[in-house]
Amino acid sequence: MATTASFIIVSRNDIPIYEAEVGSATKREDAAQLHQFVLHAALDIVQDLAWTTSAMFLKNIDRFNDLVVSVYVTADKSVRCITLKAFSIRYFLDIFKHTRLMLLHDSRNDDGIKSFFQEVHELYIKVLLNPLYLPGARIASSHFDTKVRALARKYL
Amino acid sequence: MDPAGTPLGKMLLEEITPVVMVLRTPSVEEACVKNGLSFVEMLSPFCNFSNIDVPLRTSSDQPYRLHKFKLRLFYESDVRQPNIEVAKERLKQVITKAGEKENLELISDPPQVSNLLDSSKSELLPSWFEYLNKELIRTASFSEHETFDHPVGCLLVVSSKDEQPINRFIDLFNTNKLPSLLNDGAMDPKILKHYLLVHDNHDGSSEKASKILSEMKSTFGTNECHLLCINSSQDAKMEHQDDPWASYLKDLMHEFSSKHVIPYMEQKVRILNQQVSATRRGFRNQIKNLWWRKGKDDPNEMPSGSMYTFSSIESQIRVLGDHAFMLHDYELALANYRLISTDYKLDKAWKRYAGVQKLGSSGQQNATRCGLWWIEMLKTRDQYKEAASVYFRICSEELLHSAVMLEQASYCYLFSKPPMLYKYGFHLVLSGDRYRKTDQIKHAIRTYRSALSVYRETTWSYIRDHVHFHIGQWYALLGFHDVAVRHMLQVLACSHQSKATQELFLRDFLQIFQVSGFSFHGLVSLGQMLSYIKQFDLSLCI
Repeated sequence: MATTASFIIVSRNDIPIYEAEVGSATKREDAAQLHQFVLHAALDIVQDLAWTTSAMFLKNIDRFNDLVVSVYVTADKSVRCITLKAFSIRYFLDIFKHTRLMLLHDSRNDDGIKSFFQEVHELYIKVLLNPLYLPGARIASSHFDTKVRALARKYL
Repeated sequence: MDPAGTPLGKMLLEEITPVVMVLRTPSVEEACVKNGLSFVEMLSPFCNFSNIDVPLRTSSDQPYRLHKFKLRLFYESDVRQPNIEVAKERLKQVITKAGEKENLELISDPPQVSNLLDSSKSELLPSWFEYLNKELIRTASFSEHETFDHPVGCLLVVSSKDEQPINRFIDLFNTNKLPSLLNDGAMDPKILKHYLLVHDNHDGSSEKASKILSEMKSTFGTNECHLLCINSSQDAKMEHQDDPWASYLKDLMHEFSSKHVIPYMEQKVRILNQQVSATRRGFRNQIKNLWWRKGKDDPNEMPSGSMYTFSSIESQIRVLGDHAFMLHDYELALANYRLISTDYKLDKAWKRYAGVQKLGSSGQQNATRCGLWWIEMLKTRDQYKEAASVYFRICSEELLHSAVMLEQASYCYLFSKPPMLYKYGFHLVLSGDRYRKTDQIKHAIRTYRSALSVYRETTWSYIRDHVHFHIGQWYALLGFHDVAVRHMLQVLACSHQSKATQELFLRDFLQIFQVSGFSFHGLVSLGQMLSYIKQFDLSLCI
C-alpha cells in the first residue's frame, strides 16, 4: 500500500539539516510544502513533551488530518553558542534543545518507525564523529542519504 | 468559574437563557398595540433580572443562589430557524467589510515576534471576531438540535374582552398552530404552561376579569393563573417606570420566573440527571453501549429526519447540559457536553457507513454554536491549546467559515502558555489559503503577513517559498508592486524546487517586476538581483 512519509532531522536551532521524502507513494507537487508546514508546527508540541519524559521515541505526538508526526529526540547536549531568539528567552530550557529526528507518516507502524529512528540515529552519530562535519550544518553526504532511504524502504 | 467576564461569555449568558413561548389572542395584541408595543415588547424589559436571588442546589447537592437570570420571550411564529442563506450572506458582508482596512498597515513590515509576545490580546485580536461569533451563534437558533432555544415554558394569554376565555385558552395550545419543534419529536411537548388574563383598565372595571380569573383557576390550577391589568393611555405612548402598573408586570414576571420557571427547570435537571447517570455513565454501561448501541437506537431512528428525538438518551443529555448551563451549574453542563461530543462522533461515523445524510448545514451550525460556547469556557480557564483544537474541529467545507475559525485558532496558539509560535504561523497560513479561495484577498494578505512574523527568516525552504510567493502574488493583485517584488525576490533562490515551480516563480517575478518597473525606486540594486538569479539553473532563462 502506498504510504506517505517525510523525514527531517532538525537541529537545536530548529533548522532542518536533512530532509527526505521516503514514502512509497508518488510525490505530489504540493506535498513537500504541506509536509514541511506540518512538521514545523509540530516542533511546538515536541518542545512541550521533550521535557516531560526521558523517552527518546515519542510516537504520534501530533496529527494533521490523516498525517501523523512521530519524533525521536537525540541526547546530544554538546555545548554551543545559541543566539537567543525572542521566544527562547521566555523559556530558558529552550537553549538546550536536542537534535530531533521527525517523521511525518500516514501509516501506523510504531515498531518499524522506532527501528528506523534507532538506525538513523546511529548513522547520525557516525556523521557527528566525522571531524570535518560541523554540528548544526546540513548533512550533504550522499552516502548518508542513500542509507537513510534504504532504511526507510526496509522499515516503513 | 464564570465566563461572564469575557464579551462572548456575557453575550452567551444573555442569549443562552430559557425561552418562553407566548401564545396570545388577537385582542391581547390589540390592547398592547394601542400603547405602541407588542405584548412581547411590553413584557420583555421585566424579564431581565440582575438579582433574582433564587436558591438552588447543584447536581451534587451544593446549595447556591441564582442571581442574574433572563427569560427570552418569543411568539410561536418566531420559534423557527432564521433563513440560513440570508444569514450566510450577512456574515460574508461583515467579513468583507472588515477586510477593507487601512492599506498602509497591510503593506508595512510584519511585527517582530518579541513585540507580538508582549502585546496584549486585545491589541492583537481583530475586533470583528466577536461580532462574527455572535452572528454565527444566532444563525443556529431554533434548530431541532439546538435545545437552548426550545421553549421551557409557555405563556397563554387571553384578554378579558375575548368571548369564552377558557375555550380560547384551550384553543391557543392547538397543535396545528404550534411550531414544528414541538410536534416532530425534537423536544418534549409537555412544557410548563401558565395562563395569563390581560385586562385593560381603560375598558372598564376589573370585576368581570376577576370572575374569569377564578374560573381559570378552577380549570387550570390556582398557581398557574394570573391576572395582568394594564392601563392604556389615551395617546399612543406607553408610560414608563414610575407608572404604578409597571410594578405589577415586574412582580408578575418575577413570580413566574422564580416560582415557576426556575423550579421547573431545576426539577427537570434533577430528573434528567438521574436518568442519564443511570444509563450513560459508569464503565460497565460504556461497554454495554458499545455492544448494544445499534440495537438500542433503531426504534428511535427516522430514515429521513434527525436521529435524536427528545426521548433518546443523547437528546436528554443535551437538554440536561443546556438546562444546567442556564441555571449556572457549569460543571454539570460541561460534563454533559463532553459526553455528547463523544456520542456525536460515533454517530457521525455510523451514519456515514449507513449512507444516511445528516441535515447538512444545520448540523454544522449546531456544532459551531456548541463549539464556540465550549471554546469560551476553555479560554476563561486559560486552556488555549484545547480551544484551538476545538476551533479546528468546527471547520467545515464552508471555506469562509473555516478561514475565520482557523485564524481564531492561530491566536489561541499564540496566547497559550508557552506560546506555540509555529502552530500560530501554520494556522494563519491555513486560514489565509481559505480566505484566498473565497476571494478575500485582503484578509489573505493580512493573515500571511502575520505569519511572516514567524516565518520571516526561516530556513525551511518550502515554507519560505510558499509564504513569500503567495503574498507576493496577492500584493501584485492589489497593485502594491513594490512590496510584491520584495517578496518575490525571496523565492528566486529555489533550486530545491521542481523545474516547473522554478519556472513559475521566475515568470511571475518578471511579470510583476515589469509592471512595477518605474515605481521600483532602486530598492534593490541590479547587482543584488543578479546575485539571486545566479543561483538559478540558467537553462531556464533561455
